[in-house]
Amino acid sequence: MNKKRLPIVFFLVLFIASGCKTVPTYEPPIEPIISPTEVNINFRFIAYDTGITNPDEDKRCYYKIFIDKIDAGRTTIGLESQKKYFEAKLSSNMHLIVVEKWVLDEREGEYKKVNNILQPKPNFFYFETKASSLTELILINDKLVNKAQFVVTIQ
Amino acid sequence: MKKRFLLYVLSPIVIVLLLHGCKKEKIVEIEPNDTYSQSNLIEIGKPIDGFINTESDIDFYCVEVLNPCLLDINVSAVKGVNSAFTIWRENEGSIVPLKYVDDLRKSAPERFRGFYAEAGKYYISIAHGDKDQPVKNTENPYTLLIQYESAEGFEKESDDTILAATPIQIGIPVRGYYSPAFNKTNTNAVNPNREEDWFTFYVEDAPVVCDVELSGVAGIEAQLDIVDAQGNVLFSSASQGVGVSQMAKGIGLSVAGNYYIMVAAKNYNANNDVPYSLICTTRDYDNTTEIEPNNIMESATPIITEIIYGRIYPDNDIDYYQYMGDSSHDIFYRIEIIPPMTLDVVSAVYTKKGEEITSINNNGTGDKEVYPNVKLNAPFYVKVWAKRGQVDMDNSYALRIVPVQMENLVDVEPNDTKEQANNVQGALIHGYISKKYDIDFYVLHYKGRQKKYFSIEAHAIPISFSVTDALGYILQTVTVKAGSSSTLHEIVDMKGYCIVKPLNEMYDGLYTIEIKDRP
Repeated sequence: MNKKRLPIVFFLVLFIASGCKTVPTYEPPIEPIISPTEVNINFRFIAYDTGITNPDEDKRCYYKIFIDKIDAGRTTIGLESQKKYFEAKLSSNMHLIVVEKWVLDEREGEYKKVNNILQPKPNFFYFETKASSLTELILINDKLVNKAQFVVTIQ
Repeated sequence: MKKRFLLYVLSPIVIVLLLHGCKKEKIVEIEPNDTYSQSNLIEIGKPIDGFINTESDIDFYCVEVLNPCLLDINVSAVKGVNSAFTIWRENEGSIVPLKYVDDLRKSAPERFRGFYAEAGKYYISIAHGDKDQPVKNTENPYTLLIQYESAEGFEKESDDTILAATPIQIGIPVRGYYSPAFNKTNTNAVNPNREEDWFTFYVEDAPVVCDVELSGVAGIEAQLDIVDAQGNVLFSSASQGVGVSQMAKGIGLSVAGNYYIMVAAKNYNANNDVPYSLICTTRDYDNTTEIEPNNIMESATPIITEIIYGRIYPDNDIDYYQYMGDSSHDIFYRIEIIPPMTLDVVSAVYTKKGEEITSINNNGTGDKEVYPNVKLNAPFYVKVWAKRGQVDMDNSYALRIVPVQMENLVDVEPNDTKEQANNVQGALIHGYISKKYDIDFYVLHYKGRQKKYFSIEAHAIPISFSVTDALGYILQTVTVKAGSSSTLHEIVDMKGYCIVKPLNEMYDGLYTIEIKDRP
């Protein structure tokens, strides 16, 4: 008899406890979005940093993207250790990408361009795009030495 | 020879007789005169001497008044004695006290000028005052002198209470004396022993606005109050200084009936020589001026016209107005207060529930206060007052409230923080730098990542425009000069904010933001 009642009591206690709990209001961070507006993309850029051992050093940032020396926009915003995305529809050709890292200055409440000596090096890469396939370029930046490594795949 | 002899003999006799006739006759009290039935009959204009023979001595005098007049009753000072006197009137075989006069000072005269007497018998009893230990003085007499003057145009003392108020006619001045200094029968806890003169006038056609002017009298700091029939104080003057006139302007009388005016001297001062003059006038209410008292929200003056005028008087005066506009939905209003050169006005706007929406205080003395875009649902309230200590009895401020007809005006104050940001629905934002250093936040919501092109135009005031990420951290900022425009483009990751800030302390400046998908 007691064994039969035990689950009921357990769930009752759980229900009351959950009812009493104050649920904090939480605004979820913006997830990296694959833009629905750019349906026929053929280029995706992903960037993230490695070598971060202290969370205090893992700052919110984004990369400003220049393609063929034209301001093409920026990546999504995330922690340096997180993947940040940029997508575009490019002509079938060889292209030059130059990146510029911007980091949040929390005291000022705004993003500021990282000093040139702390920018990833190299900060450019030449890549090829095709109309029918997706070129994915990954920038892996070792934050300790600011050394960037570009990995390109064509899918 | 015989004629000359008679001339020599009779001339000295005639001269002596003439001199004897010219000598002033000194009248002295006849004791016992300790009760009114033993009183000494005296004549108006003829002085009589008397003594405070014992500590408890009372001297009664009787005077017969043949025609209505004002009596000036004067009892001279007696060294070391605080004398006092009471005026009585005979009434059906007994006497009733009408006025007790005692200035509470030793060796000082007592005087009451302006006592209104109908025809009949009056009694004056002179005795020791209450304040000091009673003493006798059998060496130095007092002199009682009663004189009279015409009562035409004067108050009718004793009019010390609202029930005994002297009726006055609107537009006809009435005079009165700040006399005597004390009224012992006034037991009002706030102003005990204050000598008050009450007047009453009747308003037949309401609503009307009344103005009351009280002339200044040397040595007197006057107090002027206006009270309705329910005892509500409609106006109470503030301190204006000694010898200065008092004025109550624009007092709204909303219902027909009796109203009352109280005149008194502050600090128990008296002036038995110069009367004050009081005049009350009324005028039709034309909806262009405030109706005092409007010091609380419940008695706010309704605003019917676009502009309404008010005065900051007396000190610490607060004026509430109720705007009765379109109550079907929220509307933007432009609120302006144009003060006289003497005032630094402050204003605040409240909802009909009394919640403060905003305060308006950007400028200094003599400068206009403006709030260009208050969004409210009528009725709402506007409160106007001046910086501490500032009054202007003569000059009005103007309060102007006009609806703002502008499409895409989405700047709903307060939107000074990210949490108060206005939600942007369309592609066009009109906003105002509403006050000094006003910051406007707008929040943008899109599906997914969207690149947006922002075109910003500053019409009158240089501004900075920023776009932020979803958390409100600034991604880009552009400055825009007054009278010019700038553009920027930024990617909005589902959510972002626009922030507009003025680049100087100017305000009342319109700006426009256009948000496009293409350059």
